[in-house]
Amino acid sequence: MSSAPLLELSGVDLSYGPYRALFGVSFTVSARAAVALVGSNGSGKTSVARVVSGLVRARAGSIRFDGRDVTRWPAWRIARAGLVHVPEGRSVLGSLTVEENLLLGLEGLAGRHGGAGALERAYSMFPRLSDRRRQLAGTLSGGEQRMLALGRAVAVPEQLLVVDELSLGLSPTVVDEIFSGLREILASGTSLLVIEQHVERVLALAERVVVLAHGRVAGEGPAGELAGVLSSLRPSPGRPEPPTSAAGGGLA
Amino acid sequence: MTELLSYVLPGVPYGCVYALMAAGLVLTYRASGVFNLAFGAQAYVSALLFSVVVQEGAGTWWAFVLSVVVAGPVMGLLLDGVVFRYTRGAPPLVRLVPALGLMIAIPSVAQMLAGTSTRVPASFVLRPNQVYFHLAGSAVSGEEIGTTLVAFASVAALAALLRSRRLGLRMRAVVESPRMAELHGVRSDAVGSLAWSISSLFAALAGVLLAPIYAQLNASNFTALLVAAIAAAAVGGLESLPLTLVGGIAIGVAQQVIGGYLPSGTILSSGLRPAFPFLVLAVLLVGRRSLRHDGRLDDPLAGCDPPMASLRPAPRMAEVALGAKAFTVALGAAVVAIAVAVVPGNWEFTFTQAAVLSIVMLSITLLTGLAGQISLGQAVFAGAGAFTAGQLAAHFGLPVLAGVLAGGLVAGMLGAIVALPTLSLGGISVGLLTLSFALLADNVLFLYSWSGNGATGLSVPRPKLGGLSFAGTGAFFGLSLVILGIVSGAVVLVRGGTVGRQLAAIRGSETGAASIGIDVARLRIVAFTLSAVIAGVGGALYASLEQSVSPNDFNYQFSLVYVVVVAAVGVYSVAGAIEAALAYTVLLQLVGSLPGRYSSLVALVFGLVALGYVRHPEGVVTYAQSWVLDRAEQLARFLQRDRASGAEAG
Ligand SMILES: Nc1ncnc2c1ncn2[C@@H]1O[C@H](COP(=O)(O)OP(=O)(O)OP(=O)(O)O)[C@@H](O)[C@H]1O
Ligand SMILES: [Mg+2]
Repeated sequence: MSSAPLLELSGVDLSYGPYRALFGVSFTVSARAAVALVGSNGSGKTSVARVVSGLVRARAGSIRFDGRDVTRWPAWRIARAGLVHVPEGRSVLGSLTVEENLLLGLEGLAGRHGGAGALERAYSMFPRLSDRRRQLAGTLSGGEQRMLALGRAVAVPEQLLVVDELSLGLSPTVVDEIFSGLREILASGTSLLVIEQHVERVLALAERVVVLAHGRVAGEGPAGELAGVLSSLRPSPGRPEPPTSAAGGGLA
Repeated sequence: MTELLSYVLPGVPYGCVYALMAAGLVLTYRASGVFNLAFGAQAYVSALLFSVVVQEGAGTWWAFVLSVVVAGPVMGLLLDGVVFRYTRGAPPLVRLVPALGLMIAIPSVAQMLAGTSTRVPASFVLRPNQVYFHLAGSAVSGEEIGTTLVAFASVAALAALLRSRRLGLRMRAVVESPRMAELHGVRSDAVGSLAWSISSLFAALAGVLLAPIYAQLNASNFTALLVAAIAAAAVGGLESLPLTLVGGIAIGVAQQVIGGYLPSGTILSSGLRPAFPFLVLAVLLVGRRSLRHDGRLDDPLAGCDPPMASLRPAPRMAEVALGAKAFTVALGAAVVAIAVAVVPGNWEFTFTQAAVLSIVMLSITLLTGLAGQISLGQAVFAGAGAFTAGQLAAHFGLPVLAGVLAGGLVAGMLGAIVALPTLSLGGISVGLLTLSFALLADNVLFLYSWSGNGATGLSVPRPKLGGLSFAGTGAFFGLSLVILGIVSGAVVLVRGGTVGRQLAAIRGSETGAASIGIDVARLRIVAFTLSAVIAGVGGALYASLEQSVSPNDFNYQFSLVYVVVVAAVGVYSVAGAIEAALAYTVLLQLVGSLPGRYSSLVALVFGLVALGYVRHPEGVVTYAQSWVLDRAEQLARFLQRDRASGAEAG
């Protein structure tokens, strides 16, 4: 059991209607480990997160989580099995208050965990939230919203946390706060799958890196070894983009 | 004082039933963002089922269990699972059209199954007719006590349920974003189904409780109930259940008081009583801020869905486009030729009706297809045109063709007036406001001798132009084709011009349009006015074709049917409007030869087709056309390649 990976994607294909986004993506995340998922814009990182959490369904291939085949599971079932996905962009329910956002997660996750203690864990990691318990989440600033979304993962220590570009548009100090939150979550025993454009920052956090390009895994390995691959993937002004696949025409 | 009380007390049970319906409406609105206009129809079905079961000899309690406890939730689950689950987060029109389709289709199914024979409603609460006590001099019957108690208990139970963290919180999460709620471990579909089954239970209960007061069960009684309930829900701001209860009772009581105090025998007193809820609703829609907008929250996870198919027809290969055009022209010519030469007289009349109705349908193409506004009162504009032409011909001897123009102008003015209070409203509220306007016209406006002249109606002659007479149906057909051509041309011109492009912009996003300097309010008035002019011209022509019209020809049901039919067939193109009118009139004619109980088959067909609107907002016919053209294009490509490789080999 302990040797089997916590999350395992094998040969996952995904399309949005006629547009194909992922082509045979395979990689694994071990228990208590952090994996960084990097790649240029439109390479399919968000799509991987969505397919893992059950928001969209894979067209082919399989996804195993915690020893079970979750490929066809609905999102709520995967969430209850212990996977928290903090999606890209707005990641809280704006019409609920801060506290209600946290409670919703607790209730949905079958109430295995003590309610009051869970809230306090979230508030002590992000004190700014505790001053705003009754504020509508939609009126929080962008950074506070990310903190709230992370707070959910802190409140209930789950098995795997998938975060998608948490640092987008945030000031450096807030990014620091969020990354130290991530580090704490990792230390508490939760595995991480981190999608991030701040490659240096995420390499300091994650031991393994998966590189996506054009919907395919272009490289995978320990964080230290992949620096070369990463720099070759970064599009530079002089070099033309590699040709896009003809299938569906939507993929870049 | 006792006199007042003697009017107030009987109003309370009515009000309680309104509140019961309203509570159900609020529940589905809060849980799925859908304004369920099919609610009245659901109440109707349960009431019908109840009386049928009772008449078959089963006890009232069995009938109650079957028609309310079983049928109510089952209907709710069906509607949610088959239709409304897929409309979450969709634009207002997409959420409204299927509800309208159901509002029309459900009663017609019920009527076909139960037959048109008059059903005497049965009552079941306590001993209905026994007087239990007297209050302020008026007798209080078992039925009144029972209805009031049931309503209070149900609304209280619902309020408690919604306040609970489990359901209330989850529901608010699901209505904002079902997917985000799922990421929190909430079973969004289950929450939605639960809300729909509870709310439908309320509709069924309201239907059965209210049925005894109607001498005859018919769908329009239940539409009136629906509007009263919407008004009560509006009092509660579509949110507060206690306020909704107060609102329902207030409306029920006010109706009785109006009936008691207004001098009897005038149109105002007989009309105002049923129309009162519509007035309340109209005032609330315009006055209450919380009702103005659709309450639609953008789903942050909308990006998981593949992009919607474009509404603009895809560019075609030249050969295919040419072939399609030739085919359309040939088909049109064939239809016209057959209509004129071969078909028997009544079919000639049918095709003429279709041509005239096409004009009315084009008013929806312009308003809904081009400008993205929803009007559930287009029949009022058509009626205004018809009655103007009729009154001018009768009193001033104005030639009918001039009357048609005048009818268009009067309807246009009415359209501009109706547009004014809608300017600050979101899509669904505009629909509700125009619906209450249509019901107001039915109950009051069109009953006066200077307007529609009540049940008697007006007679309108066939037109003459110089020496030319259009008295014969064939000649009239020609005339209506010419006018249809002119109106179609006008719509195409508007669409291609600056106004059309600005309308397309406000259809996409009013905020976006305003930010690039488009005067949204002015354009909305323009769209309503132009659309009303077209409807008025169509209505006046229709009057002249039929030679006599009455308000019944333009009642609110037509307004709903028109929108459903056009949306089902294709609301974005001129051809769609014409095909819609043709399909509707031809089907109506065909069904006319079936036994009476099937008369509502047409409504059913279009109601069901309208459900497809969720998936194919371009309309079924347009969808089918592009499917055929896609295949044709594939074939053409294949043939070309074949020829090319043949040439290479040779
Ligand atoms: N709903 C959708 N419909 C159609 N295509 C989509 C949809 N969502 C994503 N795509 C396409 O799938 C591909 C991968 O998108 P994805 O959002 O996964 O990229 P990403 O790596 O997260 O990019 P970014 O770094 O910009 O966030 C892109 O080409 C995108 O255009
Ligand atoms: Mg992304």
